[in-house]
Amino acid sequence: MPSEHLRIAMQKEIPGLRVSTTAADRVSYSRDTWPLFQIRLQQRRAGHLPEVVVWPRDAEETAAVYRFASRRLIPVTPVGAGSGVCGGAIPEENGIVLDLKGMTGPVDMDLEAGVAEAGAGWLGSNLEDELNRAGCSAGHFPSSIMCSTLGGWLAARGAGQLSTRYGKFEDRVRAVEWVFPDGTVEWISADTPWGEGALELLMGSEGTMGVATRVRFRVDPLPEVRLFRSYSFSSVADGLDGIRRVLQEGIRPAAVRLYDPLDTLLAKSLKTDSPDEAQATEERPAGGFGSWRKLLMQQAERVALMKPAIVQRFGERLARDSIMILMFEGPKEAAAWQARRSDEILSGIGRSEGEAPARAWLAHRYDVSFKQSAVYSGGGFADTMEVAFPWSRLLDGYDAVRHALAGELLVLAHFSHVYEQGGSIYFTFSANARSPQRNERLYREAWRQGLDAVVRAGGTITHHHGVGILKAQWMQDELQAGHAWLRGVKSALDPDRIANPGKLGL
Amino acid sequence: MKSDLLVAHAPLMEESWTDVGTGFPGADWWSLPANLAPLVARPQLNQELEELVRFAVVEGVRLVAVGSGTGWLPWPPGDDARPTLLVSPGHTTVWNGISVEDRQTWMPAGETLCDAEEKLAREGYTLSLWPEDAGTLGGNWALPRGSFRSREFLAPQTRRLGVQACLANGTWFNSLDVPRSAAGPGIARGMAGFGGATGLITKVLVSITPLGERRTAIASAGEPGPWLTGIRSLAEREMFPESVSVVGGSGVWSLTWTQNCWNGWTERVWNEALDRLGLTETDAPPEPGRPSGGHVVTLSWEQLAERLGTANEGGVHLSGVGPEGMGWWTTSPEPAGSHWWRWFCATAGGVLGPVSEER
Repeated sequence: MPSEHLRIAMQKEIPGLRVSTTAADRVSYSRDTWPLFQIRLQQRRAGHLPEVVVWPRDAEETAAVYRFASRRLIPVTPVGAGSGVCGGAIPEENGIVLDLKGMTGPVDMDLEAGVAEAGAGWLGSNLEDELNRAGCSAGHFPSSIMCSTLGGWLAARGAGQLSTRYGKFEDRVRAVEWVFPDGTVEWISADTPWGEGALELLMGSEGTMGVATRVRFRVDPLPEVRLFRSYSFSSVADGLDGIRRVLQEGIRPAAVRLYDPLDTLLAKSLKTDSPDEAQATEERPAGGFGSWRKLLMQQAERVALMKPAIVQRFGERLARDSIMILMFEGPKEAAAWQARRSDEILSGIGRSEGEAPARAWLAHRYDVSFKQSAVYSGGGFADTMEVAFPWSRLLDGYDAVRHALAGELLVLAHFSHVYEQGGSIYFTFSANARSPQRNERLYREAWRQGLDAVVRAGGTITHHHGVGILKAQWMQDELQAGHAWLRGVKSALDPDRIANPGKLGL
Repeated sequence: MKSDLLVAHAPLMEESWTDVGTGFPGADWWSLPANLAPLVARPQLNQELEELVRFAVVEGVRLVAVGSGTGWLPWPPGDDARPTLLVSPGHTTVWNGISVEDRQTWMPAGETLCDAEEKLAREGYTLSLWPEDAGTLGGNWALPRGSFRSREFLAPQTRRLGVQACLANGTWFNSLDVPRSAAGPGIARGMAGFGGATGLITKVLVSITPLGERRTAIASAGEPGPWLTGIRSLAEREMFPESVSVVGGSGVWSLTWTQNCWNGWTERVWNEALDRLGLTETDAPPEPGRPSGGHVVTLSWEQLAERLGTANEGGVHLSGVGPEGMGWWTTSPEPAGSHWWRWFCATAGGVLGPVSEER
């Protein structure tokens, strides 16, 4: 149906619903933060335009949109703040884009019970500010906190930087108000015997089984103390051994991150060590020495990414140590015990670097957030691949993926989001193949080689970015018969296949 | 096919059958429907289970998963005229030990919690957050009822890591033994609460904790208020027991606190709890009996105080503690979930499922 006809029909059937068919809105909502779209922009290629964009204000309006779409078999693509990096919010089959950011309203808090309830459209940083004013925290701090929503965290099973202490977001959800693709609305609570399982099947469904419009989630009191530690290790293996021992001692640092030697080297060269200096850098006015240094770095980066293999080899010869940063928080006595015991464990394996690197990490932790990497303006590309393995296969998984990506890409990695059973590896890869077309070929090949290696090494293809379109072809490898089973669930809940079709391979 | 012919025709070896009465001590709790086959299928191999499921699809037989028969769900209504076969799916594999490095272990779903704890104790580990009773690991996954154990973050599901399950079309779902995938919905934990309707669980992957010295202390009092204040103040300092239970009513209350003292922190918590709650250590730890029926819901400290003020006439059973409150055993009915019933039918293909249609 042409856009204008659709707009008129929707506004007639759902009075008061905000609908747009302007070119600016349709182009804006044709993409999310999937780096492939940035590469395609280098080629001046547009994405899939939705016919209309709508902004429902509550569950009832959302349900009305689904009922409208269901009767006419029009695909509905839900969007939060568009920070997803896997194409999960791309209207691949055009249709309706459902922007849920209007779903805010007051945040209901019951601090006595340690829960809060909010509309799915709340932006992470706004929500956290609101909670902080009442003396509590959502405990969820993704790098994208300024450009991701409560609903998006749930839809893609997000993890925040302090997930080792607070859990992934799915661990914090107690109940959801859910709009199914046929337009019915139901509250599903973990406090019923079947609700726990039902929630598990909705979280991570990335809009393919409907959307959350309100979320009840656990909140924690603001921490009494924060303690910082940093250690360096002569090898990645030693660092991983240290983390495993700490976690398996029953210690839950809020943050624990181990950078591989090349990432450690770059982090040291680009970041300051003191939080005061970090703040000063942030506040430094444009121009002067700072901007010259930035320009110089960009040019160096551009040239380096054209010869990634040489830079990788050179860097790895130069880089020796892996640095680990730790942050403990919570009640004073518990945090102090954890920090002290961690010191006892880690001082036998690595070398203390004091508090400064950990404090600097905290000061810079949202630096990437919504900003696109400067690599793109130099004609290159960069992306991240977050996978997970049990401890017994973590180092092999790290080696396997690096080996698969080596040659035409610069590859860095850090380990974070760790558990007693294992942890996640966050690879950053980048290159500049000197033409947008070659960039796209290299980019796709990197993902194919990388995720094939992950599957062969027995890891999961995603720890917290989700699947979207990017990783859909590996869902069968990961879930095997479970993927067909998921298709059964999808058919039952969305028989007309209007809910975000194509995502998760469904 | 009539239910009594099921046993003769089902593709199972002779030794793969158990009598309903002897195999399942809880069987007499049920009012058994007339269309139920007289024996329980107890496949010994995955292939046998797979063939049984395919047989059920072809013959229009309903399979109902059972563990050790301690479940609380009501029997499905009698309006389903299909012949029904009880199947105990948790005996197709054997335990291969623990992965010390990965702090996890795959265990047969038919293993009772008592037996599982005993085996793990011999290796120096414990499931820790699971109730110790005659229920099976698979049963506790399929129908989680909460736990007497303390629950860090009040999220016992974080101890459940993965399953192997035979799906309704005879294919297999195998969880990766990998922490916290975001590859779509959580299928393994998604099987929790559906009583086997979404898949017949044969193995479970669970988190394990080192077993130190397990110590228990008790106290009794005329009213539980001061204990709750004490337990709350400990919880707010992240001082959790391994398990805690407050039982009573009508002016007679008892408190049981168990600690697995396996590191410096748990030792410290134990000492603090003895002091703060006026507990006396006991050599013969009384594991509290579980109320028959019901499940645990989380109540905040405020709700607990309110409920306890009006609950003195009936028995009250609190178990498990987190920073935000304690678990309360209840038999209250759950709300109906229309979508979920439709989803059951579609995914289970009408073959699996003990859950009544009224839900």
